[in-house]
Amino acid sequence: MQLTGSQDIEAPRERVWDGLLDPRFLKAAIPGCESFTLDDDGAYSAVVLASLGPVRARFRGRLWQEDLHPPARCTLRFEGEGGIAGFAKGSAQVVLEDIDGDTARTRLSYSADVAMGGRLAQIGSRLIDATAKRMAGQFFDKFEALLKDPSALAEGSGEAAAPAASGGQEAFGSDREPAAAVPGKAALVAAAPAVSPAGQFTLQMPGWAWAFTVAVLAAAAAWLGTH
Amino acid sequence: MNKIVNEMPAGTVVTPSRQLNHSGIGAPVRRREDPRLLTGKGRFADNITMTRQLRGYVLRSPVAHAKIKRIDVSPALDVPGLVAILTGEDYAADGWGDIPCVSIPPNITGGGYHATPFPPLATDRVLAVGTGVAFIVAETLAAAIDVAERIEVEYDELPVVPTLEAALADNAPLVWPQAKGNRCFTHELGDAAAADAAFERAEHVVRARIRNQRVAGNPMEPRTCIGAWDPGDMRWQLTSSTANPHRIRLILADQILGVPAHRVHVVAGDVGGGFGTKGGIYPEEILVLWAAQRTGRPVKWVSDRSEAFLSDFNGRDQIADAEFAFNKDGTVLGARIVVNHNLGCQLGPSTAHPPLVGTRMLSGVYAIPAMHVTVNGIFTNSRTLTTYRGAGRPEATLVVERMMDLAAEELGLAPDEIRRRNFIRPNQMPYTTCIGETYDCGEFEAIMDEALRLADWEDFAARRADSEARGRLRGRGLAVYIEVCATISERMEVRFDSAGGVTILAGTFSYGQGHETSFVQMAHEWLGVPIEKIRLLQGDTDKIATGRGSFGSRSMTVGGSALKQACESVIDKGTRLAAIMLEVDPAEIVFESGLYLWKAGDQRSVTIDEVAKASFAWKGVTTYASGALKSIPADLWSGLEGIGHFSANPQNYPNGCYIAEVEVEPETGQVHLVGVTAVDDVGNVVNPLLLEGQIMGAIAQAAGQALKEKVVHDETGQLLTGAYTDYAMPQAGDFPRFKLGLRSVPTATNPLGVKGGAEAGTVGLPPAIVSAVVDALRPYGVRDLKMPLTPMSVWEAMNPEGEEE
Repeated sequence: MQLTGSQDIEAPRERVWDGLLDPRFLKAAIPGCESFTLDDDGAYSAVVLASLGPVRARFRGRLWQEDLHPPARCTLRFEGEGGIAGFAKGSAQVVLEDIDGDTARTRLSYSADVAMGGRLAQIGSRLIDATAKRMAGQFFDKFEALLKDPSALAEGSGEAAAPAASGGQEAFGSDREPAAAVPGKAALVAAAPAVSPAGQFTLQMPGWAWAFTVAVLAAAAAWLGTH
Repeated sequence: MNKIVNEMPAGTVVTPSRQLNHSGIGAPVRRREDPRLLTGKGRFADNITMTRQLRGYVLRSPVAHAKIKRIDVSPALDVPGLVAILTGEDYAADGWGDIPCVSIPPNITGGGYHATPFPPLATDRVLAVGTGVAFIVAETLAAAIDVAERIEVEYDELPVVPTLEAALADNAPLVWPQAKGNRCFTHELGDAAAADAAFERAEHVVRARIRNQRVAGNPMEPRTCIGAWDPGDMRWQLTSSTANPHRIRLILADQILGVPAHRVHVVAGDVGGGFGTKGGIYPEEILVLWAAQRTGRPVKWVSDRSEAFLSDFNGRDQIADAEFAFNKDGTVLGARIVVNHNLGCQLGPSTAHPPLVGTRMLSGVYAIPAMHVTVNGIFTNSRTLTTYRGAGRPEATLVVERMMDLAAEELGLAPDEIRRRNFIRPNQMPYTTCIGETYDCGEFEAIMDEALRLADWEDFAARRADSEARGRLRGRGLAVYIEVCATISERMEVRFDSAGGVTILAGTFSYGQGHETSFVQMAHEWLGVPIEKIRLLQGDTDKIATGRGSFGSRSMTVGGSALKQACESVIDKGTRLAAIMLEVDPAEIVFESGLYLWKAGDQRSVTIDEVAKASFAWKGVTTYASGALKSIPADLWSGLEGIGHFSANPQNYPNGCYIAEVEVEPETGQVHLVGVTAVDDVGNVVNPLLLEGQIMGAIAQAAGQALKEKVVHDETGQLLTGAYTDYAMPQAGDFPRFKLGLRSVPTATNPLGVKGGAEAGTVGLPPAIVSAVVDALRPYGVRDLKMPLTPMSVWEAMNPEGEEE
């Protein structure tokens, strides 16, 4: 399945790029993100609790970055596993461009190839596209708000750092406990090198992949819950 | 209201009671089971809750082909309500057996077949999406699902062959490494040299690849089962939505457990359909018994609808490469056909039945002098396939009838004309086809003429002009089918009770067929007992000695004939008792409409009701004339009862003609089925209402396959049609008023003169619909189409370059 879309962000490319590689931003912006851990093989593992309507499912995933060209484009591969809800895996290409030559504004375009399995494929695939787009939009809304007001990050909680709560915020945040920050892991992630040379593997958490993976899985969870 | 045109076909079994009696054989008695089923008083497996019952949940593989590297249950062990997590290794350790395949005869040609291990849970390898890897037993379903969420299974993925096309490709990955070319078996019929000679002589050869797509069974009631273990009696009890309780007992006792069958009790109450897909044994039916014994508590498992799409065995799925040799005048000289039939990843009990039985019918209703047929059973990384209404005969009929229409088109003949030139004639009966099937009777040209008349075939041009005036394309298609019905043996028992009630203990099993009506009608007719006093008992292996169940349109033929024999046995015993009671020679007693009558004498009589009561008498019977108390022979003194047996050898051959008319919207490719005409020869008719229901249901299922239904897997073997949002079902609004007719030629192969009537529509209609749409698209140069004829596939056929018009 192909997921494509774009998002205009009121910030320069460099700032968007840094934000997208900053795990604090991503953890705060990804709905329901519980943990990031760095594995021995250099990939990241994360656990995301997606809670929509009556369904709450915990998704585990891993991801790898490839082909980094800051602050213009990169590719990443991801795998997400939602237990009996199935799995999603694939890769995403992300491109950052100035909007009409305006270096203060950035257009982020993404194109993801996602393969799904299990119940996701059986009963959710046709409904994922629109839902994933909507949820990606919610992610970027929150991400943009964090870029404008990074002070929220200091509180270390995604839920607390939601100055511009969108529809997605209501969907995710209101009916459950805020995800507890895990200082040890957060410190580990924050200590990672900020920017790497183009094409080199880095330790940053490329969060938009999570946006896609989580969007896909959570949309499926939502769909499963209503059917 | 659709109407059976000939309500009382020639040759219907007529007895003296017929004229007086409107509930006997041939009468349109309404279904006696419906008030119960339609008012929520039925008892389906899921209506039963056992004391201390647990719920089972199957954790299924999300990948199509993989080694299981690791199953880690430890994260799930603290879930409240968890009772047990069982894996394939546990199953193997307990020594229970695999699901057997019983549909490949030992004398299959080509040196046997590749058998597949089929434990109810995978051990080392998963072979299809949905393969069970763990069975979770918990206090509640929610708890079981929570446990399933937490179990970590690590898969090492292997190359996948999701479809028949992928499995047949050169250098395709192998589902079973020893099965080269993914081939399970090869079976040949006919004479290759004779067929080759026919092609050398041929003036015209027609070739085509006919694809019969995979479909889901979609019974109204999803599969449900409850396992229980009685540690006192050391017995297992399975309550199931199965379509064949005795077959399941046999498999459980003989193959799975290796115990005497009296230690296994299988019960099926009301069952909401099956269409052939519920007739074998499924992994879950074994798992609930195993888990019940392990936990000491009853365990229930219920499939939800999307799980049914994933875990029920599917139907059809065949590719036939056919070539037919003709003379220029349209006379068929020979045929060579290679059939590749998808078996799925493992062999279930009935998996090989459709390809092996279906190919026997590839000569259709035609006198084809020489044929050679090769049928290959092919493994894929998909769920096991099995019988589905028609089971092989729809596949065969699609091949023969489409080939006839393609030949007619190429030779410039009308579709009815090419058939006339090739039909087997009534004066050739019995006729043995060159692939070895002996048809006992059938009047194919007459039945086609009847259908053409009923469908107003000749006035088609006016209807087409009318459609065109409304901007729609119109086409017509016809198909003449023959199928084969009624297998093996059946046992039926009839018992009177001391109050004159009659119980039929049926070895057949009705899960929608209406046997509580039809068999009761028959017993009523033969015994003269009011319908209200007759009960059908079925589906309990502790109460019914043995049985074969209902499938392959067999119940009326074998069950009905066995019931007739049982009733005759009852009547004969009753005659001996009546003779004692009436004090006359038994040879002079006539049995009529429930009355034992001394017809040769003073017309003294006794009812079968009184005879039955006498058979339970405590101290002999009081005689009619002298009033003396006479003793009763021992075999008549323990209740009036009889047992009947019948075996269908030879089988019977229902046939008929189906005509479809369609309108196609040229802008969208949407097909509208605007006319369906069916004339069937199903022999004698027991209940025209039930028959009409069977034919209409089969028509709906056939149209579903022709126009809408398809099970789709993606290239990684993921099932994409796992819900009704993606799997299109036929709906009432899709159908016009049907024109149904009967033109029955009773068969002499059973005492009732009946032929199977439950699958006819699924066999005859699909090729007629395909031909009708091809006919409609003739202006676009379309030669052939593959089912299902969805708007997209039709539009693409009309617009091969994909450009807008």
